[in-house]
Amino acid sequence: MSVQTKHPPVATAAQASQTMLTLLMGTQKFAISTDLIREIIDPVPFTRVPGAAAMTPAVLNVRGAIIPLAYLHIPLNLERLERGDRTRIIVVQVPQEHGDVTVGLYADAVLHVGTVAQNRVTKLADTSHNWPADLIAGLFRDDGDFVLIPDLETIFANQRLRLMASEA
Amino acid sequence: MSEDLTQIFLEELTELSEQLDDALLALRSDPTASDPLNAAFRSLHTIKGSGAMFGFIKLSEFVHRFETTFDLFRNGKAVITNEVIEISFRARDLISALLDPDATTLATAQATLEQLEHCLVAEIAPVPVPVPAADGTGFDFDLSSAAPAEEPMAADASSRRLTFGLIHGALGLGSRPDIILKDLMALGATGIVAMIDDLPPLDRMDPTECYVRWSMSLPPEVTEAQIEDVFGFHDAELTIEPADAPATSPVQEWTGESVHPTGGGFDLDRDAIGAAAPARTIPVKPADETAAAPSTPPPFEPPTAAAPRSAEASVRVAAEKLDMLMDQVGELVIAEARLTELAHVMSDQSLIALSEQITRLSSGLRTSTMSMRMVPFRQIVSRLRRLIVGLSEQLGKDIDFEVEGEDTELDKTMIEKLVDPLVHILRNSMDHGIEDAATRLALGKPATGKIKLTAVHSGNEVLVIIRDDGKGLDTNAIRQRGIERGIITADQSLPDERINALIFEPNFSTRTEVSELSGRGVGMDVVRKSIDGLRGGIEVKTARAEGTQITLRMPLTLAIVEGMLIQVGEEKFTVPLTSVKEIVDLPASKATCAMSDDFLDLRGSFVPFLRLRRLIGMPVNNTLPQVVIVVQAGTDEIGIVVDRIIGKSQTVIKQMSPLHENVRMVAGATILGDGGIALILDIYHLIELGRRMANDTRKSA
Repeated sequence: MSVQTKHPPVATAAQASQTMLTLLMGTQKFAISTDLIREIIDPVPFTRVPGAAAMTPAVLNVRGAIIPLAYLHIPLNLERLERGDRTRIIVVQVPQEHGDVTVGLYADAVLHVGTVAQNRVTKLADTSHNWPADLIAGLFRDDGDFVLIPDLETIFANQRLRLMASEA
Repeated sequence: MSEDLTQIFLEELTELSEQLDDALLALRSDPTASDPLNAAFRSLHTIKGSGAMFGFIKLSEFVHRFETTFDLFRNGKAVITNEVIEISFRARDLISALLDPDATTLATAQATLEQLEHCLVAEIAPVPVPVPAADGTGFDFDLSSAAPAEEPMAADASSRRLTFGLIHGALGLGSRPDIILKDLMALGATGIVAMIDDLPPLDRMDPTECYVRWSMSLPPEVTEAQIEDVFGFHDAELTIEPADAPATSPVQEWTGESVHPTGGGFDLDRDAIGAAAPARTIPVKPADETAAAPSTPPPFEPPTAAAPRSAEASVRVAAEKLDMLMDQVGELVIAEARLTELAHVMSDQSLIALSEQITRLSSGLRTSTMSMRMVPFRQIVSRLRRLIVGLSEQLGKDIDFEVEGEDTELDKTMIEKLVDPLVHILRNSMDHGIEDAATRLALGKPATGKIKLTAVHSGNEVLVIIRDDGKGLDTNAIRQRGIERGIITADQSLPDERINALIFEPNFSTRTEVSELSGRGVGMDVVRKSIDGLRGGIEVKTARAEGTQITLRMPLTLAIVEGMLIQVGEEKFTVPLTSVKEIVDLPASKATCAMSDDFLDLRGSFVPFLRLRRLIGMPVNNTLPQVVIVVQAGTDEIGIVVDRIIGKSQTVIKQMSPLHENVRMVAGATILGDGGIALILDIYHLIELGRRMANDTRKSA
């Protein structure tokens, strides 16, 4: 079975694995397909956007492009750690209905890049979890920990729907 | 044919169709004018040629017949009537449909052509009318119709001798000398002689090359433009000389191209097509022309509207590439600002000198890039003209539509986005503003209504003014409606301009009945939205029974704006400098935050003000001296209280991410010299907030 993303990046049924970046948000491990990742940078100064949603409270200057900073901590109910030496910004480009959005994800630490075999990825059960199941595309085990794959497309699509609703 | 080239053709088709529109409109007002007639013919001819080249055969066939009728007008064999113009407009509308026609379109096209040709028959029964064969191969000009027409200006001119050869593997690119010859014969060429001196031995012959040249006499009234038209899409080398210089020279002329003092010229404007058919060399340059000229009277080819434009060499570039260039220039401006800052911090003289040089270069580069994006207002005028003509028929109101400042240049993106608002405004003027002829006469006005559209530069802005001489806005009715809709209160005394501006509120219509065209209350608020979106402003002036004038104030470009950098706490914001009206110190009496009297008394007028600190959720600090920036949009003003003004800066506007589209207060962002970001405040939103605040205050009072 394949990972439940609407646009399976490169991985198809034929390709049994994909390359993922494992990172830490709060104390939880997450993995993001490297196909979505544009770059990983050290934290740059944030510029607060007054009136913006809590998930995207600021903008960043990433080499001349102004992109929103996004805390997945908000939709995924994660604990937020103090900014430290290991804090990184993961610049991702996420497909959306009306064109891609580029966002800097706030990560508490970047762990490693590795290949994840598709058969190790299972779907999150709808019940008995702390996680909003619709925002998690799947999970797998790594070093004895659970690693979650966030469904970035859905997370940002939901966020935009919410913004539109609040505007109306 | 590659996608790219087809795209270029489609773009060109749009342009040519617009030129055709212009020409037809001009002919409508003066059917005997020769400039627009020639222009119409040229547009059709080019559409035919490139259409065929890009494989749009049906289109090409259609336009060919269309063109043939215009050729008759041009030769004075038929007369243009209103009916002809009307059918021509319909035919013109079919052009884009014929790119990919279905059976219905083809039938309509056929019918339209028959109507057009019928007009001719009706007009000039005695003259044999050439009805081109519908077999698709076309090009069977009725040669009798091309016999020299008695144009007075050509009366005493002598004939000339034209020699041409096809170059650059023309046969390989699909040139057909037989067609060229036919076209030339249609222009009245006689005494055609083929010259085969250059024919190589068979084994050295390249089948893509044309080794034969032809020479012929042309009647004097054939213009250079007509000849050029024939060669429009062929790689040809041609010479024209007076016939009395006998045909001894042609061969020499040909052997050495360098004999021509003017050499070959590239007409870059056509190089869009040139991508497919490289380098068209036409050494028919003034030198040759003057050689032919002595006996030819000066009005050789009266300049047409299109001529001066196409005369300058130009390159067609995709708008996307210009956007990219603009983005990169934007980056350069930012990098340059950082360099300047750094140079001053390090106070290294040579570095400072270098940074100053870079500043000069980048500002020059920015100016030229911006100028590349500028296009004349004319580009959209023909569309608007057609709208007026259409509405005028639909509503039965005669309109004199005058346009001033067609050469005024605006940003390409901006001009496209101005079309819709202008359409709305013009429609409103036509429908609501201009009275019917009877009413007008009763009021002592001329029966024909007048709408004037003006585009003019004013400082860093372009003003687009739409003025009609209709009945004007009913300020009382608007006021009434505003009160009904709860936008203003009954006891509120507002200047007329403010009341008139209410027509731009959503769902605001004082009209009880809804007409087909307008009156549904949608439209004018859309106008305001679009204009706001372009960072422009709207002003309305009106006088009862005299007319209405709507002025759109637009910035010159969308990409870069002069900004005023301000600071609140540690955060920086930018306000477009064009909207800043004045700066005053916040009076100490207003320093504390009060709900009720957040108004400034500026020379007797009360201006509401907002504290930026409070807007952005920062504690209001009473101990710091505060500054008020008074910004203006249209007739509305509002003060913004900030901590400090940092200065003026060139601001490259970056759009906010869709994830921040709910943040109404911010119109965009810009990168500062130190790499930091300043958000650009949305003046219109702030003014809206101020207005709401004023209303609340009034209610609570």
